[in-house]
Amino acid sequence: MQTAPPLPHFDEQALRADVRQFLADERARGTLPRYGHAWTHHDRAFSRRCATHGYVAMTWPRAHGGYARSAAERFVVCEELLAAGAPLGAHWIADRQTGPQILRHGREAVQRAVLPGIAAGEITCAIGMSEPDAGSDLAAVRTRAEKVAGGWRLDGRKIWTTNAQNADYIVVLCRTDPPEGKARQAGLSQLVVDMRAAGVSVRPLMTLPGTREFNEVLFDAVFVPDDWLLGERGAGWRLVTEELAFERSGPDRYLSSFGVLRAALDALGPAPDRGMARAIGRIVARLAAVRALSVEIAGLLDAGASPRTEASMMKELGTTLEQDIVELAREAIALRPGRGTGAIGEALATAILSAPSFSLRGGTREILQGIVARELLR
Amino acid sequence: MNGDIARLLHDSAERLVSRLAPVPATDAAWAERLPELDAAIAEAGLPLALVPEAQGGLGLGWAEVAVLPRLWGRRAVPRPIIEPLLAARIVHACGLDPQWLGASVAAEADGRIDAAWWPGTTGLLVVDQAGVRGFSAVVPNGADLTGQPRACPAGTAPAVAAGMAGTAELLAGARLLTVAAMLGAMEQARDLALDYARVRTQFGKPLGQFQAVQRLLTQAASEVEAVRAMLAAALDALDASDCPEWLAAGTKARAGQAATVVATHAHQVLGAIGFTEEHELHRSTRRLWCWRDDWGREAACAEAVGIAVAQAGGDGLWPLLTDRHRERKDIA
Repeated sequence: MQTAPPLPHFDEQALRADVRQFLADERARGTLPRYGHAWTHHDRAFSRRCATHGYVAMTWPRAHGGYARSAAERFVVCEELLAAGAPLGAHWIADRQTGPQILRHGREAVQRAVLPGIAAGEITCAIGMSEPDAGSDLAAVRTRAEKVAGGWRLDGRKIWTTNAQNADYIVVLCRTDPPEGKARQAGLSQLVVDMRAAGVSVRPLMTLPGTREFNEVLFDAVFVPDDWLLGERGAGWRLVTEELAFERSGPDRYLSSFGVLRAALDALGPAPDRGMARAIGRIVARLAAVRALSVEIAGLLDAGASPRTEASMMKELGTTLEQDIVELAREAIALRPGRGTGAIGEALATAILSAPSFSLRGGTREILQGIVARELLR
Repeated sequence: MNGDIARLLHDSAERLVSRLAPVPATDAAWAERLPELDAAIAEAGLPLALVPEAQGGLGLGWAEVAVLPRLWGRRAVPRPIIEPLLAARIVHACGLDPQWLGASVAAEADGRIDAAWWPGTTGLLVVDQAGVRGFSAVVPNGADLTGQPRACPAGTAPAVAAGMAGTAELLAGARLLTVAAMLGAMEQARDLALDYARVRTQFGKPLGQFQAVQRLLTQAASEVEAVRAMLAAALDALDASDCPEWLAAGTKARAGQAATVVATHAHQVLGAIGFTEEHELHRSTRRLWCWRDDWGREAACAEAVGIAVAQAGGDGLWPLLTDRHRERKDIA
C-alpha cells in the first residue's frame, strides 16, 4: 500500500459551510427534497447554479474555465453535494470523468468546444462503453470507426448509457483496428462524438425506480473529425482503464443511499432499542471506514499516483455498504415502502428499487474482485 | 512531528523481535525467550514511548506509537505491549510509585474487570472517567482464547490517581492501539492465506486461480485496507485532541467486523492445515478473536456509535461524520 501524502492545506470547515449554505438555499428554492434525489437526477438549472458557485470543474486549469483548486477541495464539495442528495446528473459524469479525460488526452479543438461548457454547467456528457454483447467483457465492443478523409465513420450501438437523452457529447469506445492476435485490447480507440451529429439516435430504457436513466444510442455512419480522437489511435483501452480508476473511488460510491439512512434515523428517533443501536453503529462504522479509504485514495490521485487496486477495493466496500444501508433502513422504518407513505416511505421505496445498480455501474463487484485478486496474487 | 523518532522506534522494535523470534515462531519457541524479550523491551525503553519528553519519555503521539502494537500483532509477540505503554504514561503523568510501571491496565466493562496478566505483573491500574484505581497485587484466574493468563479481580480498588486528567484520551488510545494490533494480525493472516493460495495446487492449478477462492482473498484484503485507513484517520484525530468517543468506538467496532471476516476467510483458504496447532495461522486468528472484545467489546462499541448517531439524528449524521472541532481541547 502506498502511503498518502498530506492533503494540501485549505480551510475544510469553511468550504463545507459554504456548500451547506448553497444547499440550504436550494432547499428553500424547493429543488432539493428532504431525503434528496439520486445523484444521476438531471437538473440543468441546478448544475448551472453549481457552476456559478465554482463547484464544477474545480480542479481544472483556469484557461479551460476551471478554478485550479486541489482534488482534496473538490472531494469535500462533491461529498457535501452527494450527502444532501443533490441532483447532479446534468454535470456529474462530465465533471468527474469526461472532462478530465478530454483535459488529459483531448486535442485543442475538442478541448475548446467542450470544456468551457462543462465548467459552466451547460454541457452534459455520456459514457459510451457498454454494448449488447460487451458488458463486463468490455474489450468485446463491436462499434467500429473506419478511417475516412478528415476523420472517422462511426457505426454501432451503445447501451445502458446514462443520461444520453440529455447529453451533448458522448465518449465512444470503438474498434479502429483489428485485434492483434489474441490481444483484443489492441486496436481500440476513444472518440468524442457530438450527439447532434447526423446519424446519432437515442432510444430510452426505463429502469426499476421508474426513471428514464438508461438509453440505447445508435450510430449510423456518423462522421467524427480527426481531432476528436482522444489520445492516439489504438490507445482506447489504456484510456478506459485510467478513467475507470477515477470513476471508482469517489464519494458517489458510498453515499448513494445516504438519504435513506437519514430517513431511517428520523424514523427511529433519538433512543432506538439496543439491537437497532448496534445495527446503526455497525453501518456507520463501515461508512466512516470506507470514507477514510476514499479520502486517502483522493490524496494519492492528487499526488499523481494510480492506486487502481485500492480504488477497486474501495468501490466494492462502498457499494456493498450502500446496499446494506437500504436493508438496515427496511428494518428501521415501520412502513410499507411505496407511494403514499410520505417522504420516509417513498425514500425507502426508491432506495430498494435503485440498490441493484450500485454494484453494477462502473464495473461489477465480480469484475472488481478479479482485478484485485490478480494484483494480490502477483 | 517526531517522524524520525517513530521510525527509529519501529526499526529497533523490529530488530528486537526479529532477533528473538525464530521464524516461524511458535508460542512454545517463544516461551523460553520471554525473559530475554522482557529485558530487551525494557532496555530499549519501548514502554516509555507515550511518556512526554519532559518526564523522561520519548514523547511520541498515538499515531507514531501505534507501530508497536501493529508489529506485535503482525509477529504475534506473546507479551502485552499496550498495557505497559499505558502504565508508563499513567505513572509518569500522576507521579505514581515506580512499582506501578510493571502493572497491567484495564477498564471496567459490563460491571467486570478483565485484565491482561503476565509473569511479574506488579499490580493492576483500572482507568475510568473519574481517574485511576489500583490493585497492588493480582493473580491470574482465567485465560483468553490464546491461552494467555487473565486477571479478573473482584471488589473495588483504592484510588491511586483520583481525578487524573485525560483518562478519556487514554481509553480512546487503548482502543486504537488495540486496533493497530488487530491490523498487524489481520495483515499476517491475509498474507498467510495469499501465500497458500499461490503455492497450494488442487485440480491441477493453484487455489488462487479459482474465482470462489479469489472472492475470499479480495474480501479479506479489502477489510484490512478499510481498517488501516480508518485507524490512520482516528489516530490523527486523537493526536489532534479531536477524536470523539464514537470515532474510537467505531474504529474498534469496524476492526472487529474485519477481524471476523479475515479470520474466517483465512481459515477457509488454508483448509484443514490451518485448523492445526502446528500451523502458524492460529497465532494470528486466535489473537484476532480475543482482540475483537478487548478494550471495548465489539457489540458495546457498535452500540456506543449507534447511540451517538441516533442522538445526532437524520440531520446531525453528516456533520457528526465530517466536522472537526480542533478548538475543542477537552483533553488536558
